[in-house]
Amino acid sequence: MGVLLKAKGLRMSAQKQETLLKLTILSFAAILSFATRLFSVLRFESVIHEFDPYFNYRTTKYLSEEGFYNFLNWFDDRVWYPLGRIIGGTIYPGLMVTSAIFYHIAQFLNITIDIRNVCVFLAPLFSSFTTIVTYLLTKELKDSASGLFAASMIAIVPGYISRSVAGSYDNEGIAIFCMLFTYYMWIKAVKTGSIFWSTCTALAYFYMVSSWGGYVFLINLIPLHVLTLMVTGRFSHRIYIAYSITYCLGTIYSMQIPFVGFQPVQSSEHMLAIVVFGLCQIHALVDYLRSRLSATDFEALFHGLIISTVVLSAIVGAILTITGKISPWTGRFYSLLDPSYAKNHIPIIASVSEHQPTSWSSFYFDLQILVFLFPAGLYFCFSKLTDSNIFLILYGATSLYFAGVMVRLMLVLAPVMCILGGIGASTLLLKYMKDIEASKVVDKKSKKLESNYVLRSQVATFFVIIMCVFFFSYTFHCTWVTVEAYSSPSIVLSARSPDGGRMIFDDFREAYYWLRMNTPEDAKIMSWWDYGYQITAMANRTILVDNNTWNNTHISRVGQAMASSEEKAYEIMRELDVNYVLVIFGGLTGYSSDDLNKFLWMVRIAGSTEKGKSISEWDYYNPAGEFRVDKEGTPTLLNCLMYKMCYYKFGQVYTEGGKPSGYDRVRNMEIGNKDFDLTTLEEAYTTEHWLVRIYKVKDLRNRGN
Amino acid sequence: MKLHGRRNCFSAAVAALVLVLCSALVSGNFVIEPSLNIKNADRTIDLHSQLTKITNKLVVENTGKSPVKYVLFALDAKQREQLSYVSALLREHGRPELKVKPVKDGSIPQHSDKIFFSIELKDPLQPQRSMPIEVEVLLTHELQPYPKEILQKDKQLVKYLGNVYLYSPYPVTKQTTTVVLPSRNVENYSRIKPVTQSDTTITYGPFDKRPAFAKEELMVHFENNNKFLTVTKLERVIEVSHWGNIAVEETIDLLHTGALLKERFCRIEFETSFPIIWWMETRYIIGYNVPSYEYLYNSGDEYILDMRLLDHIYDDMVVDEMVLKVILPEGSNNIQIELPYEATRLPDSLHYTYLDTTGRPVISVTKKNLVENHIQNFKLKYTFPKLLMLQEPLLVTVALYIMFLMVIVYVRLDFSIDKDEASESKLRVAGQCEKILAAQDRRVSSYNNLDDLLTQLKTNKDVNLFSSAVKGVNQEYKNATAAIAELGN
Repeated sequence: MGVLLKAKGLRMSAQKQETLLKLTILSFAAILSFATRLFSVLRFESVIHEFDPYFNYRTTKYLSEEGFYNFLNWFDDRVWYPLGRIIGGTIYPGLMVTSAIFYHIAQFLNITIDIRNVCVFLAPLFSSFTTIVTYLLTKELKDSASGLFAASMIAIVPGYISRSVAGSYDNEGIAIFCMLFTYYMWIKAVKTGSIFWSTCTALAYFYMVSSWGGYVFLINLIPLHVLTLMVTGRFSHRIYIAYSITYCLGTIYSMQIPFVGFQPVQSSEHMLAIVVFGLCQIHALVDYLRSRLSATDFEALFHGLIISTVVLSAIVGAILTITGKISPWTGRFYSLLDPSYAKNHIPIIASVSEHQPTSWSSFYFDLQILVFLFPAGLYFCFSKLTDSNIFLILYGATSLYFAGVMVRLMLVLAPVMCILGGIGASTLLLKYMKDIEASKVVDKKSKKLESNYVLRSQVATFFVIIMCVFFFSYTFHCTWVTVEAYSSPSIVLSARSPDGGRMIFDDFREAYYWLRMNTPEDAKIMSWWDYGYQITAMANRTILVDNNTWNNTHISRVGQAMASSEEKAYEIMRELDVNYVLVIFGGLTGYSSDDLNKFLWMVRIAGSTEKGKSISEWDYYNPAGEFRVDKEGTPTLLNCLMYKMCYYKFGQVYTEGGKPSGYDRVRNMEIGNKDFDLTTLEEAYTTEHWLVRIYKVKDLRNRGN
Repeated sequence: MKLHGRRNCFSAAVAALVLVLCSALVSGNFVIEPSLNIKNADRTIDLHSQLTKITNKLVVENTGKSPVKYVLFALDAKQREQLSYVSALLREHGRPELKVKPVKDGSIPQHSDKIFFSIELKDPLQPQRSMPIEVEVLLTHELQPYPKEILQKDKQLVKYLGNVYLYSPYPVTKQTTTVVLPSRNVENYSRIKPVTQSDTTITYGPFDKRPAFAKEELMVHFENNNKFLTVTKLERVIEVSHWGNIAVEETIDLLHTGALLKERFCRIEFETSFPIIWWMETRYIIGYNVPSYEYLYNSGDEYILDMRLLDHIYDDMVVDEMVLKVILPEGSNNIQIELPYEATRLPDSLHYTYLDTTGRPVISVTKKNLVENHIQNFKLKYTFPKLLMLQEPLLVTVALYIMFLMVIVYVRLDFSIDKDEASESKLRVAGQCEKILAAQDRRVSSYNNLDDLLTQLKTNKDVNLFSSAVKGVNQEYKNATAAIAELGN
């Protein structure tokens, strides 16, 4: 009796079983996607990572303390001295507003979490949401089995984890969620043609615009989808309603973001959307006329209409471009279309490592088996074309291209890889799973079939096993990549000590904290722009340039100071009211991304403006064309400010056994200029491992001295 | 109050006299007993660290005719800011501690410019007897770096200014003063004869009879390479949980109060030279958890928290200002705090954190100028009804319950305005299927019952019992079949 009762209690209809399974898998995937991003917190601490997140953290703190309107009107005089920066009007506020809302809700519920922890854990939280929305999107595009596959895959895909680990508090962390959510709404709108879903798409798009500059991809992809549907003859009333409403509302919403402003109607990046919107109207008109007119009349009208439209739009476009109403294509966008554009024209864009083209190996590193499942998924999409499948194909193809152009855009590719990979895997598995079962049932009945298809069930079993092995390897690979590559905060460094233990270099925070506690409140600090955000956020001091590289001439001026001789640099530093100079030096510890390794970029940027014409990159290469810091280096290099600040007193230090004093462990050479003194600067502070060196700019000498 | 009461009782003539007596007794007025005399004073001024530790070994003599209950100890009013801690003990077997009480300002006439402490003697000092006592005084911020700025490789020199004599309200017959220094390197010191310097000590005296409140400036300028660190503000928060944990969090603002660094800092020299602090200022937070059974005691609903008011931060520490906050569980009342020494109690407040509704009571206490000797326990008594511990789990349970309930209601009920025929009929069919399945289940269970009964019959051969049981099973089976038939229609 007992057994029976139990069985009765567990008995569920197939539908309920399915719901339970779906819910379980989905919640496990969501939890997993949160948990796997916590390695950085477990191995280091709950700390904000890298550079940009520090700015976001600082602004979020400001927003949560001062309120939204003060935030919008915020003029920050701590940065870009003496220019300052209007923060409210030059950022995408979505991220900060999201965190502030979470923070205030938590405070209201007496959950005493501080704003830093909200920021640290926001990206993992949104990854969980992304997992769920990926399921919903894939379910709309294909079926729920594929959705579950896609959700499980996106939960751990390294290409996405790289930008959403705990502490990596950046726009991308929430933007991927926003993007997929908008797509989901869009597919819903396309499928139903309802005003409700179209409005939802516009709202989701608004959230996307408020959170990331990458919305441009979205506002080109959706029109591209509509355009493709028109060309393939799939244009219908549903598409017309969906696009017209989404575009109109979405554009108006997006213009509410101060940073976006009038760009949606002016800049050429948004032109495709406008053009497609116009085409939609024409197409609808043509369809209407066709249903009312005779074939010959319609033909004549159609030709006339096409010619006049093309001519008119060309004239209007030309006038607007000439009068400057349509802004020229911005540099970052050019570099998307032509990878060599930025390198040749704008050194400041090319100097950022994440703007470099993607190498083949990093595709495998970030996506693993998805690279192989992607074409399979694409094939299944093509084999059964629908309106929504076309969207998926377009998304896959375009993002694949962009990811190839810029490492950073791997992030946009990862979700579609997971969706298509999920579709591929689930379709294949469904096919073979059936075979395993079918052979059991029809075992004795049909001997003919068996002779037709030898070892049907064995092949199927083998296939399923192989797939399982692949998924296991995917899981292990993803976890390994997350741990090894993407979970270090880069503000705290770790290394293996000779005895095998783990060494922690906390020099950055040491230096910034020193600045905060031991320098005057209004001190101006000069450093290369990479460290600008960190200095303002952690040291709370005024800086000259930061990671928001909006003013090339100002950055160039700092580059000129770094690249000039001490006397020349002193003039520039006096001109810019600099009190302290900060450099990052890895020669003692072997930290390779220090200022000297970035120095050639500084020289290039310094020489790219009118005032820095005297600085030529070739002065820093020796006759053999090498950049060397030892005796063979050029005198210009060996006497420039950057060199002196990095190597001041370094000539007396023994860094490695069996090597002479002043041996640089990054560039693996003994420095060429060991014995020199600083005349216009004095050492103010050097951190424990010499990673950060801070110098004080001396006042002008008294007369008569 | 007492004073007031008495004034009403006595006649006006006697009142004045009584008033004087009473006020002396009640409000704790003290007089410098003229019959007391210090026979011998042996002072040691220890300047090893950043603190001034003065140990006074005194032999007090009563030359009068009546027993004396207390001895007064005096300090210059200028030292009010520096004074941190005074303690006294009896120099005899077991070294029993004596109670030291600060004397209210201005309660000793003609000496309002001095600070007094009264040392209460356990047994009154009888006439013509003497008693050896020891008074320890701790002062902070008395050593001043001189010069104020030094180079990184320089040694830190500090200057001490003090009194070469015991600043005593009673005449002193004989005394010596020994200054103990951390190093032999002494730049300069006051040559008040007789004086001898040997190794790291300078001894002044013995001096002959000196009157009360004798004063002569003592100056020592010497090398002191110890850390001069001051905690400018310490906030110690103790959060008590009745689930077995006490969380302590200390926010420490640290300031370097030694010589400043002149000119440049150099990492190489820094690593090889004396550890002069090169950070002017810093702040850090240290937090830890301790199990509550070590510090929290209870009997029924009455609780006592017995913890350190101040904890060790570093050796020879100086804390300029401390604020202690004790956060008690929500619902605690009848709160009484017992402090080991005088401190100011701040107004109580409320603290809100996870799952709080009415807020947790916070008891705050503040005190200035503390040293290691202040590391002592306080006792906090409060009442906490044990049932209140269930409040938070219940809150969570109810919240979850409501959430599930809402989901159930949302899933089961149809909130749409228009009717969706297709899905409705689908649901109806699903419901019918469920019912049929349930009926089938019942039929299966009756078959199984029959089976069981048959096996029972085989073993015990009781036909009567069997047939009666079969009837029941048959009835159940019929019911189920009827139900299926009904659904089929």
